[in-house]
Amino acid sequence: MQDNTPSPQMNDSNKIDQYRRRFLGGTAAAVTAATVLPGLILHTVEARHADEAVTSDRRWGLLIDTTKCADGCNDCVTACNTEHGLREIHGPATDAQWIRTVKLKNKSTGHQLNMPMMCQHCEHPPCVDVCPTGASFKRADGIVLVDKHICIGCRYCMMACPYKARSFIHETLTDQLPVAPRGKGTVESCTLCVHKVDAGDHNTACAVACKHGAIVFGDLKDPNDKISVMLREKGGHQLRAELALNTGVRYQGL
Amino acid sequence: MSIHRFTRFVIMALALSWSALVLAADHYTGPNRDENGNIVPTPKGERCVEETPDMRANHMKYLLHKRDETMHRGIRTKTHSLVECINCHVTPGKDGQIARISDDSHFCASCHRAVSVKLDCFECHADRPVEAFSQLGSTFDSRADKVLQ
Repeated sequence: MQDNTPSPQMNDSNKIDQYRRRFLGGTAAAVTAATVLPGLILHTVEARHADEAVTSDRRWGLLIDTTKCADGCNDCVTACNTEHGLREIHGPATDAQWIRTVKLKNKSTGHQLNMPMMCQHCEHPPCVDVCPTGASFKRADGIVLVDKHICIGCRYCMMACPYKARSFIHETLTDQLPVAPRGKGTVESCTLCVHKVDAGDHNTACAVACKHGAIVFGDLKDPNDKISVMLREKGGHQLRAELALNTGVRYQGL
Repeated sequence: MSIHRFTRFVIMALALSWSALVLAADHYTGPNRDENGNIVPTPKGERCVEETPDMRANHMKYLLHKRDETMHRGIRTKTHSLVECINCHVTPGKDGQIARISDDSHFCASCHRAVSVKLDCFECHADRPVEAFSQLGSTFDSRADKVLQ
């Protein structure tokens, strides 16, 4: 019994560490703000240490401006495939697809729009609800992922997803990249470039690749982040908003 | 059989099975070594993150624990990270080539073959160090180096 309960000393030292970290973090932020330009409060992103777990203080998301998304451009798809080592195997019917471009045309008016579609990183993800093993999960910072170590490849999540965002791997894969382990018999989808996010990149491969600036990545919980400013000024729609999934990917110009 | 003979038999049987285990453990030589007893290909670092006997016995536990920490909590420390194990241990051999998991000389394969324990890590994970991918050109240049900073 005694072994299982953490000693009060441990608790105290943990607390002290936390206080110290917070104090040091605060001081560093204040110093930065003061040296850059006195009087001007800058938005400071406190980088997460590698040994700190993600928290719900952040919620990562994307904002897509469909009016900027160009017809015939596929840069975001190519960038995603390169980033994660997705290669063509048996063609689009069965190949993995983490992001795709969609063209919508209103037949009565002839109005046409293009937009990229990927996992919408829902706050209430149906894929997580139906997963029988717990492989499909939402990280504290809002990124919806598949833990392929415990995925049994049942594909319930693929059926539950209203956005058809997930792919099943049918073939034995080789030469996977260190940042994106992928394998036969598991389901996968957009990870919101979680390896880049964890490295403090604050961007995704698709957003970097979009030369039209149609994709913006950011922290939806940070009111000073570009994505939040843009959403506040011009709003943003959820796809299938009636499902009340509170998606982390929002669209403008629909 | 009298009780004494039976007891003697049991003791003999235990002694024999124990010596068989010891012999088997002796026979187990670990990863490929050169004539001086050094592991080949040579690991990059000066020493492993844990003592060798500990790693031999518990590497799977360390990897399993780290796997969940990284996957679910986003903790990306280098210690016990599979990518870092590979970065250090899978180095070019005498021929300058980096071994693949299908080769006997691959660090993981060398032991796992010897003890007939199948491992499926590399059905998904990269069996080569990150630097091997950046040498392969733009298709593989996935900023992997940056991620590991």
